[in-house]
Amino acid sequence: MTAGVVLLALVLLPAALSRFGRFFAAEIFTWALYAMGFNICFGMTGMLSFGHAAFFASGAYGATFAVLYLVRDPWVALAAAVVAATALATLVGFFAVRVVSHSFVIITITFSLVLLLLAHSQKDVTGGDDGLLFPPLALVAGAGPSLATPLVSYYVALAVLVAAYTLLRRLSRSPLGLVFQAVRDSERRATLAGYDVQRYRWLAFVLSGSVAGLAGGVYAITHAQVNAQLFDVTVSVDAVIWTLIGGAGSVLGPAVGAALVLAFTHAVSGWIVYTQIPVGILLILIVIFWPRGLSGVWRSWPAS
Amino acid sequence: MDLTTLVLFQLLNGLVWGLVIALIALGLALIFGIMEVINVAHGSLYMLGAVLAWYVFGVTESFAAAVLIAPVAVGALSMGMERVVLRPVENEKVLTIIATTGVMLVLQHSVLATFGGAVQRVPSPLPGAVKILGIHYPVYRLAVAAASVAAIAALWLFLSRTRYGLWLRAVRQDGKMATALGIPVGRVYMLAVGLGGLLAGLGGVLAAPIVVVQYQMGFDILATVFIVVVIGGFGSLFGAAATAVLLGMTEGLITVVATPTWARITSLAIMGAILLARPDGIFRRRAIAR
Repeated sequence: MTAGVVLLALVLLPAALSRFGRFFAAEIFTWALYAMGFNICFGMTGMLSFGHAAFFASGAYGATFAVLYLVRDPWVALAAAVVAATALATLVGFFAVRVVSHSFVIITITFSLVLLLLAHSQKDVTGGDDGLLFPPLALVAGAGPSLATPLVSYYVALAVLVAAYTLLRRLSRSPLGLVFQAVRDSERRATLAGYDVQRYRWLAFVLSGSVAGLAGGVYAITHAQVNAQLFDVTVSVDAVIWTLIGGAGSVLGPAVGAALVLAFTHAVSGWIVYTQIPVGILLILIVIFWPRGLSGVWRSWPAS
Repeated sequence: MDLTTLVLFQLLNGLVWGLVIALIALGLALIFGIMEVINVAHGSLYMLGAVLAWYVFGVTESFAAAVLIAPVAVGALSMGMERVVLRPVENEKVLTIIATTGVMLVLQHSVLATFGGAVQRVPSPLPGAVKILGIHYPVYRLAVAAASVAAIAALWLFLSRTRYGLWLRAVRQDGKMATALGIPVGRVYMLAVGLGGLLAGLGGVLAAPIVVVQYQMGFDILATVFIVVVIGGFGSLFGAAATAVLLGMTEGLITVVATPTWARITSLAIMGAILLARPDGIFRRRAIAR
């Protein structure tokens, strides 16, 4: 019931928004999707990844390459985004899930740092900081309204977000989702119950990377451009901050956190040019004054 | 250049760069060994050392002044970071990662706000080359290698011969016991982070005339030192230094046939292989691991 009302409100919302408002809302949906993907890894399975920018960015580039070299269709581009990010997450996860806690953080951040270097050095492939551009896509294989229209990108981003949310909600209550949460709560107990913990962590990591990549794909088709800065550490850190603020204990929490922080940063961007400085201070304050946000909040997952 | 000369040249480059990395990685391993803090801001401290060197050199036109001022300034700042940011969360490894990430963002973007994002260069304080092993090699790079070795030796002497060095080692072995024996553990923590920052800052100053100075230059180093400590084992000082030099020379060799980025990816692959074979690193010792 509540969900229906919220969905209806989101469908009707563009009527009340300016051109920029619609574009900005699509932006929020994109990053909300990314944060929800991140939280499969963090909130649901208990692995703090500091390298999810790599999956978002590889999704964005996967989509862009599909548009440039394959077919100019946004939905094929999204599929390519998921394929690219899934492949990368499978590779990184293969190594990362062998270690836990701080070592896991180090491995994920190291992989993403090297990919950032790679993206910057292979300018002829990635376009570097200038990035790659393509003419805006039409809604379906060259026909229909253009995705350059904020209203169209609003509904595309919303549709993908709602679809992903529905799936993730199902996942969190499915047997698989319960195993993820069991692994998070006690690795030893999950092992004793007969689950191959490392394999489930790997699966959760790959799923998480896929959704982050899907978000990257949405970013690519709605912006019609991507650049190497999407690999930046700050993109990985953003997912952590949004999830901490919105709450890691539910599917929707990180999405709400993303919306709140993005709206806030946009509101203050007129006065503060270097927004990463307050973000860094915020991170330090969260750790000092609300450390339980990092470990305690996920106890509120609906399942179990 | 024929192949032998090129290989020799790159091996020397790798050795010099590996020694600089060893300084920075030693700082990271020192902080982790004593406080179990993973300092994500370590790359930014290196960057700050290089940027301050560029700034001090620009004002005073003396590289010696930069060598004296920049590392001390970075070390002092690190001590402040320990007191304000790390003290409240010192027993939670994952929390310290997030807190130091916050410090990294603040440092990096403060430098961007203050000095701008343009790429800067520091002229070599010792121009010219000497003939060594049959090749002409820049004098400054040899001086960097010597300075790094001297700094590492000084650190070793400090740890093994002074009262504070003894305290550092005691806290590293058993913090609770050290407290019980009356060692001022708080001051030791501050000293460890200060020393770690000093080493990172010194690495930045020494590297400044070799690399380009820019606010994002710390990312590259952060990736490298993380690879080094994962391979060498967290908290093992000897492991960090030895791995840094070996990895530096390996990367140097690879750059004979490929770009530096591919050399870095090879290092990442080596890290992956070590992770599969020995998840604790090759030099890890139990006393530090805990």
